[in-house]
Amino acid sequence: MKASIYFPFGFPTKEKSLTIFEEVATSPVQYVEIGIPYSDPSADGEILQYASQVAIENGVKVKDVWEAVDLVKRHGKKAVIMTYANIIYQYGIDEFVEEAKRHALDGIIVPDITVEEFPQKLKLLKPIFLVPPNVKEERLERIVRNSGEFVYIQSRLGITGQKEKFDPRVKWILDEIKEIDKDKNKFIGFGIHSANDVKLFRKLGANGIIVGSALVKAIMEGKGIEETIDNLLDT
Amino acid sequence: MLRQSLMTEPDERGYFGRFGGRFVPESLIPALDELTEAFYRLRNQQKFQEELADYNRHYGGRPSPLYFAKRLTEYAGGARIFLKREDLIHGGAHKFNNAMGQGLLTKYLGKKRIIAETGAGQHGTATAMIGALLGIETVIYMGEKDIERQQPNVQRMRLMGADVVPVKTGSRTLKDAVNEALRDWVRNVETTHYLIGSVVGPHPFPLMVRHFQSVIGQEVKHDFLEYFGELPDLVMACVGGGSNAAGSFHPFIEDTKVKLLGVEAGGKGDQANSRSITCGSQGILHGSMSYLLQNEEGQVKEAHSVSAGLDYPGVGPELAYWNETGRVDFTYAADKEALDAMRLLSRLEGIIPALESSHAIARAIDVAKTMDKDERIVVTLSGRGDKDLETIQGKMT
Ligand SMILES: Cc1ncc(COP(=O)(O)O)c(C=O)c1O
Repeated sequence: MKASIYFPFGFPTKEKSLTIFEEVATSPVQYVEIGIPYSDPSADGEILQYASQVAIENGVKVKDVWEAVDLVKRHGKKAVIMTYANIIYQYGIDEFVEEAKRHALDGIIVPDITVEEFPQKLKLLKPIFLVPPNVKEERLERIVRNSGEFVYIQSRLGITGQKEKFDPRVKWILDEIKEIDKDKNKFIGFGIHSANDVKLFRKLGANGIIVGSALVKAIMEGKGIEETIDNLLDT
Repeated sequence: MLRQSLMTEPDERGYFGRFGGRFVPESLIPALDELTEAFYRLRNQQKFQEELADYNRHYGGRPSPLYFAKRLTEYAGGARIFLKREDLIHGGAHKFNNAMGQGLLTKYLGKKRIIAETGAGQHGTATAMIGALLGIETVIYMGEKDIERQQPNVQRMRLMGADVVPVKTGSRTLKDAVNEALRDWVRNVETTHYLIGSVVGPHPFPLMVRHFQSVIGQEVKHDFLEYFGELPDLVMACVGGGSNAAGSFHPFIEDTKVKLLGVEAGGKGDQANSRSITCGSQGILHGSMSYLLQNEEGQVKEAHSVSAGLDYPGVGPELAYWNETGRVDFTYAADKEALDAMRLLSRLEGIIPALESSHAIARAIDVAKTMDKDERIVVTLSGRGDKDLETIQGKMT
């Protein structure tokens, strides 16, 4: 099972987050997702909201995020940025794309821009789109074909970090994506917090998981990063 | 004055010029598509229109009076000032118009649950009313700070059976109440309608809310033609998210002789206000491209206004478009000016205006002074001020 680990840049401080990115990048994961905090993260649950707020209060600067990208890449891992639309528009799409190319970013996730709204220029950064359980068949194909490194399948409707039941439609979605493109990486995220979850989704046909809130929570509780990731991946 | 020919409807993707659109998670797309289809179909359907008109009249108390404020006019000493009395509508504000329209739509859609955000508690109150009226479960998200300053409305909502959920995150006001409502909606989108309270949010909300609020401007137009055989010279309204303004202005958009003026909340000054249009910049908040108050990093700033209903760092995309095309002018009134206007109207006319509406009254007095005595101004009195009595304690001299 492959893994993509999300962590918010600037939490709890810029320096500490860089240390955490380094540790994540040296663990057995394939992707490191660097979150750029936004003041109104309406797709995020309490844990990531809290982390974003702390990072913003610490004065996180978008232009500093490239340091984190470089660090991840130095350890031979793929770097993905996740942030909300307004952050990129405010930075300037052209400048953002240019910088991202210069730092060899491998992908970008913007949860509040759908396939249709995605600016042409920004598509150069190989967007990774989310697939929610209520996706309509006719949209799924377009989403899959436009997704870069992997397709991000939501385990349930809603926001990050919830621990409710997984949506049974996930199985249908995994099968359908295989039909559309058998080589496409299928990653599952939203509320993944145990090795059992990981096993379940592997059985259903996913070949990767995405973990965010669970790691942030573990760090807030003083748990080790390596230990947390090892436990999840059950290695 | 006009710099280009005006769109009176958004394009297929929900854009008014470069403003609007849909900046939302994929999970909301099916619901927004369904809503768009239902809205375009129902707004022209006779049965829906008749049912809505019936509720508006017999439940809501429409049409609302157009009142000539004689003593206020004499005080200002210029153009004649008329008040469009949305304060007399059921619930005490224009918010009824939108809640009624969307509530009925929810019923047609067959959804079993309504959620809404509220700032002043007026939209929450209107939604709670409609939830009770139509027998639909209702949940209202309200910032903790607003719960403190608008207690009477919290009690009204609860009395009518709504579940009022305090929002403790971020600014603890309207902006974060919208965030919480959006989070609820993405979880429960298949059973729930998000009855958004202003002309903000992703397409089709700005269009739909403006449509239901346009009854304000249509009635003004009707009454003016009937009484005076001509249109007003100027229409004014306060601007929070912009729904009472959009509803007042839209029926006059193509009557270019009618001047339109929106009044934002000037708060305490340059550093603490809610002037998204006159002080903000282009950006994305709560699902659409518009103007907002933000820092250079794209983080949304906290707004400030003494009136909870205007205390919001964004504004509807259609108003941003009207500003850019020059069709509508925008100005502002400070906290203190609104408080003074509230007292003035109460004493001169025996009408206690909401603090939100008082912003428009404050500017109307100045503007009237600069106009001829035979000219006519309509000010939309968006709500009544009973809810604000606690807020103004100690603030008035
Ligand atoms: C009485 C009143 N007027 C105005 C507003 C501002 O909203 P909008 O700009 O959408 O009309 C509110 C909002 O709560 C309100 O209660």
